[in-house]
Amino acid sequence: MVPALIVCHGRLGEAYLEALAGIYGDVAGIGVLSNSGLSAVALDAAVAARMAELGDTGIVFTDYFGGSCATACLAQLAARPGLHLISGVNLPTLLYYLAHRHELAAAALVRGIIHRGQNAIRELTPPSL
Amino acid sequence: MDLYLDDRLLHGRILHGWVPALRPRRIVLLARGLPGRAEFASYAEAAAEVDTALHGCDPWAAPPPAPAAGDFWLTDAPAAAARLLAIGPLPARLLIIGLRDPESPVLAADFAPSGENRRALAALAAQGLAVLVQRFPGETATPLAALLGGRAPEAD
Repeated sequence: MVPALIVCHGRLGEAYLEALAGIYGDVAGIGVLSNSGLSAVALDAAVAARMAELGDTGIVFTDYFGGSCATACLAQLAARPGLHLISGVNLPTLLYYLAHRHELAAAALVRGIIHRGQNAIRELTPPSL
Repeated sequence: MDLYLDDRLLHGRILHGWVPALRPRRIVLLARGLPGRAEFASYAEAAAEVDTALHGCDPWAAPPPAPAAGDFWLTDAPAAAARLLAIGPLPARLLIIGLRDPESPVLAADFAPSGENRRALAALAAQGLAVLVQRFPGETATPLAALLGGRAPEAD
């Protein structure tokens, strides 16, 4: 199984886990880290520690490129070549991850996650509504 | 085949929980008014996104299809299970994923049947159908009798 970590602002990561538990059930293996109340130094340290916990392979989801969460995660990637960092996390990306984390290697999982996440953003019109 | 029941019919827990686990080739939806209801088009689109075909059927209006290997049969009400027991095909089990009747006692997570539905489910069990509650594929299914406490469901 490819492990995962969600690094987001506020309580967004926790809220995603709560929503996922209601939809999918078993969300064990997904860590959550918030930047709330953390200085830049403290956030860097927390991200380093949590990304180290993932081991040799894993996926880190963050909310948006350019934010402090993504910046802190990016700073760790050079030291963790087996980890993949995806920005723009949304519920479909996490659902795809959960459905395929046991069967796909990290690189293939990332491709599928990005495809699913991007395709999920669209305008809905009747009769799809 | 097993018949699954969720009062929300085709939704996230089915598409992203049960479908990835069971990998059905086809979802058979049994509910009144299908496939003519407006939301059926969105159900079909959602099923296609998870690479699964969809067949909608109102078992009171037309005979259900013949079961096929790789089917996932889903309904939104106990009455459809009773209809299948009457006209076929006979399900092996009724697995309740969610039944969330308003202002009804919560017997288990996502299982809060009204008095009418408790009586309907008990009647199905009395006819020999195995009725169980199971929210997610990885959970252990709980027999209905265990949740009803062995008591006959009271009138509302």
